[in-house]
This record gives sequence, C-alpha cells and structure tokens, in this order.
Amino acid sequence: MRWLPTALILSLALFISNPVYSGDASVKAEHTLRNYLNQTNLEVKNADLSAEKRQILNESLYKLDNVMETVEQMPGVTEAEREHIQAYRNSIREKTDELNGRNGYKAVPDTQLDAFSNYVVQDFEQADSRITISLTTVLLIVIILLLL
Amino acid sequence: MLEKVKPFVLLGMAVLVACSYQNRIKPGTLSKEPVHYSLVFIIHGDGSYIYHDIRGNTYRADEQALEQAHRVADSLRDAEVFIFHQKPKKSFLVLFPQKDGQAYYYRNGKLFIHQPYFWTRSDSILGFESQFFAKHSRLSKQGRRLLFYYGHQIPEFEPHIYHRSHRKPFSIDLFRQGLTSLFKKGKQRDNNIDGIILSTCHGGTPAVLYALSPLSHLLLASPGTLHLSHIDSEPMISLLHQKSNGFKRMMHRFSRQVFINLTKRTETPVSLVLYDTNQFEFKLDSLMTAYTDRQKVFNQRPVRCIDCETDPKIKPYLPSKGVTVFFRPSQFGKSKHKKQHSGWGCWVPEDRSLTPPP
Repeated sequence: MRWLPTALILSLALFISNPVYSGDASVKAEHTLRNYLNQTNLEVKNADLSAEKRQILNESLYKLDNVMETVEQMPGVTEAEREHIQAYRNSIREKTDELNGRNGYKAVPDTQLDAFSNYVVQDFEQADSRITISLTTVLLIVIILLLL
Repeated sequence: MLEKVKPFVLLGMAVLVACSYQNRIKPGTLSKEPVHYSLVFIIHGDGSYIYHDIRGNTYRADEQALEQAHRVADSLRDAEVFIFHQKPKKSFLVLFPQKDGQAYYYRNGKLFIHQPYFWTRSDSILGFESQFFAKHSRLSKQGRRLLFYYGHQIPEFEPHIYHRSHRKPFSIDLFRQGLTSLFKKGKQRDNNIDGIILSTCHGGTPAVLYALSPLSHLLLASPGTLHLSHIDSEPMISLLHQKSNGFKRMMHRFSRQVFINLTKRTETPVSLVLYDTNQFEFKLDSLMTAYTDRQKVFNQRPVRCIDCETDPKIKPYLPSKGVTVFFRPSQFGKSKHKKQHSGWGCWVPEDRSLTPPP
C-alpha cells in the first residue's frame, strides 16, 4: 500500500492540470464565496432587530477578511494573487467602515441595512474579471471559510 | 447468458442514441415570410456566472440570458434569430470530449435548427458561428442586424485566458475579428452591424469603442461595472414591433428601458451608454492616442476602471456628442455621491488616485 499516497498525489495533479476539472473547480470555489455572502444576506433579512442585522454583517465580513489575510500570508501565493486578495480585502474593509461609520463614512442607517446587505452581495457579482486568483488559492480560501 | 448481457446491450444502445444526437432540422417547413431583422446572441457561459436576486434565489447569468433570447426569438415574426451558447468544456468518461456549444436558429418566431457544436475547435474566433450564420441567414438587403454579447469583461490590452475550461486566449481585438467574419455575408457597407449590445463590465472604454466602431455606429455598453443579471433583451420584442419610430430612436428607447430594469434590481452603480460613433468618429483616433499614451506613463498593470473624466490628461479628448449616458450612482460605497458619468471608462493601476500625476 506504499504506492497509495503517490497515486493519490498523481491523481490530484492530473485532476488539477485537466482544464475541464480545474476550470470547474475554480468556478465552484468562486460560487461558494458568493453563496456565503448570499447566506449572510438571508440571515440579515430574517433578523428582526437592526442591531442583530448589523452584527451578522460585521461578523460575516470580518470572517471573510480574516480568511483572506490567512491565505495572503501563506507561502506560494504569487505577487499578482496578493494584489487581487488585497483588492478584495480593501473592498471588504470599505464595507465594514461604511456599515459602522468609520474612516469618513456615515454609518448605514438602520432602515437601510437590508439594502446594504443586497449591495454587499451584488458588488461581488459583477460581470468583470475580478477574480484571477489561482485555483489552489481560491480553494484554500473556501476550505478555510468552511472550516471556521 | 443472453439475459445477463441484455441490460448492458440496452445501455450501450442508449449511449449510442444519445451520442448520435444531431441537428433538429425540419426541412421544407422554413417560412417564406420576409425577414427584416437578424438578431445574433452570443452567450458566454464558460466562467463564473452565478448570481443572486434580492430574495436570495440563485441564477446562472448565461442561462437567464439564454431564456430571454429564446423568448425574443419566439416572439419576433419578421425576424431571424441566431443564438450561440458557449458552455464549459465537457467530456464523457474524461476521455471523450462532448460538444459544448449550442446553436439555435429561429425564423419568423419558429425554431428550425438546434445544433450542438464544439465552439473552440475552429482555427478562427467565432469560426463555427460564422459558417452557421452564412449558411442559414436569409436577411433582406435592407434588413437590420443586431448583435447581443453576454459575458464577463472582454480583455482589452492583450489576449489572455478568458474562458475557464478552455485555454484559448480572448481579447477585444479577437472579438472584433470574430464579428467581422460572422457578419461578412451580404456585406453592404463597412459598418455592417446596425447595433451592438455589449452586456459586460467595462465595455465603454476608448479601446473597445476604437475596436468596434468600424463594425457598428451604434453601441450600447457599460463604461463601469455591470451586475451579472445583465442587460435584458426582452424589451426588444415590443420595440421592434413598433416600426415607425426609426432604428436609432428604437435603440435609444431600448437603452432607457434596460437601464430602468437594472436600477430596479440592483444597489450597485448602473451606467449604460448608447454611443453613436457617427457623431464622434473623427475624434476617436486622438482619444485612443491619449489613452494609450496614458497607459505607458502608468507603467503598471491596470486593474481598476474609473470615469475617464477624472483624468485631466484624457478629459479634453472625451467626445460628449453622440454619447447618451444613463447613470445611477451606487446606493452605497465611495461613489454614492457621484452625480454624473462622462460615459467613458479608463483603466488605471490599483494604487492610482482619481487624479493621476502629470
């Protein structure tokens, strides 16, 4: 059975190098990120109190930022990927600043928290090519996100 | 013995039948009614296209665009409609590639051909699509041609990987080449397409206009970001039925309607611009020169698209005549107080402030 780890690594390498599966996996990983934010949006809408809505949004964005930070510091992440992760993190920070009224922003009023939550989801669902992070890195983000 | 192998034989036959699925052509039933409009939809689906509505429902942008295109095709009695859906690569048991594109041809509101195909196997961009169009199009000489493209932002600086499962590079220049080939049949004039609807992010940049203006005088695009719920095509149904208004006016009304639809379902910024390049063609060369010079000065990879008006070096070259802007700022975020948009998007490096150094 000594051959088993080698076989597994080889299979994984073959799987990742196959564009059919690597493409599919990176798309699925991105979709997991979007579903994560959508889940937050639903929780915000289901919450009755404004304080609760604000807390859900804060916690969710904080968690996402932490995950991105963890991945950013990992060895093997390229400079270009770091740039993209930084852009993501900047965008997340701007949203938490606005939510809480920091760094020149007026805090989002209680009556607009549901709309703000929609905005957070939609801002990550644009027809641009923003995500050019490699499959391995996106998978890391998703794995850590699911584990936390 | 025979009984034992029977299920396998049946399964094998089922696979053979499934694999031999070919075009659904109904020969002899093609209508002789006139065709005044030719609508071509190219819907890119080989990428990350999931989005959610405000109720949390999940959609695939390409499938939503496809559904609408089918409804448009079903409803237009004096038009022919070509739909090309470019999907991710797929294979049977890893080894046997399967056709990953779907081509549909409607005429006078009826579907006549549905043909699966390999959309990246041609030597040229849009190779299959061009042949399919040339073979089936019956548009009269006076007929109008409209192109709808749905996808992510098309790379404008150099070809790079755009599709997720296919490895063929893509760029705005390659896109222009593809469209030139697609619409060469029955070419009457240089501007061979009457209107292009580019449903992507950052389609309203000097480089995109420079590339596509030789093909069409009317282009609807977004200089900023565009939500994946995309530009609706359905408003085209009623507008094409009202013939008396003139084509340009129809495109204007279409632009306004799809802009309103987008603002109703999003909180993010919406900027749609109808460019009439007839009115500023003579300015495009100087704008393009200023834009490319600017990129050289930045000397960094451009990663952010801003309103060109904020760059004092580009601003003097921006045409305003022939640029109809429909703009609603973001409801939140840094740009929520932005009152207007010049209608032009310019790429800058990430760390560049809104007013780059001279």
